Amino acid sequence: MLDTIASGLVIGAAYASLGLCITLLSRMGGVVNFAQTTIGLFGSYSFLVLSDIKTPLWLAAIIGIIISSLVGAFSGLIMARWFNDSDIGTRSSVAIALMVGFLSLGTRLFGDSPRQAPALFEQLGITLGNVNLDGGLVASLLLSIILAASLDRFINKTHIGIRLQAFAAKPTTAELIGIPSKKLTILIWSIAGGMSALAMLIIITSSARNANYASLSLLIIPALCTALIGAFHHFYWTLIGGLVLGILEAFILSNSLVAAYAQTIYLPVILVILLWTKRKDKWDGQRA
Amino acid sequence: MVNVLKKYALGGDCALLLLAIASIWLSSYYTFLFTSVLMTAITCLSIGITTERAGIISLCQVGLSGVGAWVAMWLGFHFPNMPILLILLLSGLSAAILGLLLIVPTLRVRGINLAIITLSFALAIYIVLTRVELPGMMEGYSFDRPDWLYDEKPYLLFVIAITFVISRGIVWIEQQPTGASWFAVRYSERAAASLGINVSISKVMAFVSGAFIAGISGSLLLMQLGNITSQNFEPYASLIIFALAILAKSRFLSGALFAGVLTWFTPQILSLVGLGEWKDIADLMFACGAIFALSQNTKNKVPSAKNAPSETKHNKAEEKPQQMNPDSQTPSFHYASMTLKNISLSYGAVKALNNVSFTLAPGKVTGLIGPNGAGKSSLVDVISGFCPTMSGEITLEQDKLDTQPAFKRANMGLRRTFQQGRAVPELTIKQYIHLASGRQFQEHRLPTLLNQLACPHQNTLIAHIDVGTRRLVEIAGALMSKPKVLLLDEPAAGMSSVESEHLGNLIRQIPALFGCTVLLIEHDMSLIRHVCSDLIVLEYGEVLAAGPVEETLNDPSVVEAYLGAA
Repeated sequence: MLDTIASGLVIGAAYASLGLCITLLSRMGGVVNFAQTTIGLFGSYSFLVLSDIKTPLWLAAIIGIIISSLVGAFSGLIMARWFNDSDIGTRSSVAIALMVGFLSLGTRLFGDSPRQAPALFEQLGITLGNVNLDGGLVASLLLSIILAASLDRFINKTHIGIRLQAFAAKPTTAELIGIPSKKLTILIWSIAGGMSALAMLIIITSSARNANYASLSLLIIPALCTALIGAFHHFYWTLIGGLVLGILEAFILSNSLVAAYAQTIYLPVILVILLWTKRKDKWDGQRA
Repeated sequence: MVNVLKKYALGGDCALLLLAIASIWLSSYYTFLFTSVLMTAITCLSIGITTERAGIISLCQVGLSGVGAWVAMWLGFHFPNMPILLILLLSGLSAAILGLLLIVPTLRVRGINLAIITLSFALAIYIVLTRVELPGMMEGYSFDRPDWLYDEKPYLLFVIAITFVISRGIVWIEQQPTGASWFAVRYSERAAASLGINVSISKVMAFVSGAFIAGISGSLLLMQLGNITSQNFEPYASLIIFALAILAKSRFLSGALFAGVLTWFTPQILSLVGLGEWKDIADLMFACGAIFALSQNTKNKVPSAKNAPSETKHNKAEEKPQQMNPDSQTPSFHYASMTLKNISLSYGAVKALNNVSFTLAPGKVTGLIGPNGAGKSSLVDVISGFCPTMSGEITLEQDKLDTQPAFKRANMGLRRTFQQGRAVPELTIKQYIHLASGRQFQEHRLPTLLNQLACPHQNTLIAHIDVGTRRLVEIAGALMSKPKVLLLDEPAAGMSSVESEHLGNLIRQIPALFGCTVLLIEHDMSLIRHVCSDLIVLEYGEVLAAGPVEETLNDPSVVEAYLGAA
């Protein structure tokens, strides 16, 4: 039971971290970023390549995070250059195309065979009473909690965060009042890229050591599911949503009868969330 | 020649014909390849319906193909003598039923949220197809085409015929109100409902039709390969098809065929130019193409009412509408009246409308004015049926409207226009008016009606006309439907004084020419004075004054509301 919850928390916290990156971009960039996991995968696979050639793990991890930040910045540049004033549907369609492109490029660069990942966070393992907490679990939980708390504090409680929200609502108008919207778009995409690389690192070094590139990219679905629980807005709800989803999935995986169908759980969870939150949306937004 | 092909959108059909002829000389390898091109094209056509027509971003079309393929395999295994066309039909229907089960509960979910649902649906289908044993797999079963289709060439011709039937079917539906309603729903659900369109049914029809076509493409794939695996239908493939459909504009057969050719020939071309090892980056090229296409769409977006092209502005002021003498040329009408009784509406703690009651004078144009925030738009929304939380009674003659959904109110004779102009840009004027008037559409009345309203030719695309003219087209659509009551929501907004005066003349004639009662919501006082016989003034959600125009405008409370206390 405790083992199931622990393994659920590792993956759930990683989902939450990815969901937090998606929420950040949704609030700050007006986009649902379907490419979030593929951007993160560039960094995490670079880490694998570097660790194979005996680069110190901490250095490989940092380089991986920087690479994903750069890929994120490149995506942000595309958004800022051509889609600054587009609606969320168009921007998100661009993100879908980015996902396809990055997956194709990533598979080309890194191959699609499963790779063995080293245990990165072993040293972080701690013992509480009689319970040993795995390093991956500690890292995953720490990352997601720190991300949720810092993003919530920064965006909702600081002057610059509030200014950034104004920018997200109308980038061109924000430029008129002196906010450099294009540079900020690139910066936010870059931050989200780096964070997602860290989340993907936790996943591939803790719980999905044998997964291949394409199947890892599909982690975007639980990540989106997690962001939906937070309505693409609330960071703490996204954190809780990720943890609950991870534990739910772990319990299904622990039952041999239905374990093979564990990933189908995302569909009913997404349906329930959306049917509840959109129950009053009888009409689309166009009023007059 | 090229213009004719473009005009009637026959480019894709010609390509199919050429392919059918060329198939005589094709090697078996290229016959197989072109058959695959057509199957991809069919899947893209399905996205052309769901996404490009109805605006539903669907990321599960390849998954739905997988369902079609699985059902075709099951049918082939259990009923080996079943006619191939029946197998196609049933596999398409199976995918359509699954699509129905997904879309019905999610009708209130839109846009990118629906995209997330469809992607997770694609993942669920993939996992089930991976885990569930394929029919006949243990027995080594392989789907055998009937003898007449056994060779690759007859099968290519068969797939060409199916592609042609599907694409022509889509074109036919697009000309009908059902297909036109998909564009209307994508553009604005409220405006569509105000035309009498059942928005839910329209969305369901679009998604289910797309699923049906995707199911057929899956069963065709099974018939081509004999066997399938779940790998043929992984979620990633749905994403690639989506990117391709955007890139190639798969609403049209030519675009869908182009998407198919890109899919199957890009790796070939890369191999030919010595980049065979890099042929797996074709998807990257498609993604770049899709991003480029999206950036171009953003740049050359079909003009909405807000940004209609000025160079195509239709000069109404110079074109005098046909003047008619109502007394000598129109029959006597039975005019309807509409009564509102104790209408109230709250948004949380804010009371937008408070016990509003009035009766519209039959056969007259009644004005409705009020300062910004007085509740005019809320009142129009309440009457149209967009505010389910309202209380009070609305009756049109003897019919009780307040319990009816918006589209039924429209079909009972209550029509409205919108401030922003909600005539659907992708349709021609004739298609729009046909859509708006449904069974009341009479083609022989169209030229006269357009002339009376000084609208451009019926075959003009609405995207090519300016904002003011779009409002006139909306009015024309409403009038063709023979409404009992017509609500005009600020029809003169943004018009010049000359255009506004012309519009005023037209509105004044509406009751006499078309037999309907009019409620005109306007800020333009000169227009109100020119057109209306009665006036209702709203302030803070309550009726401040009502009665004949001049008398009401001189009411001290109205003067105070507009000019402030002396």
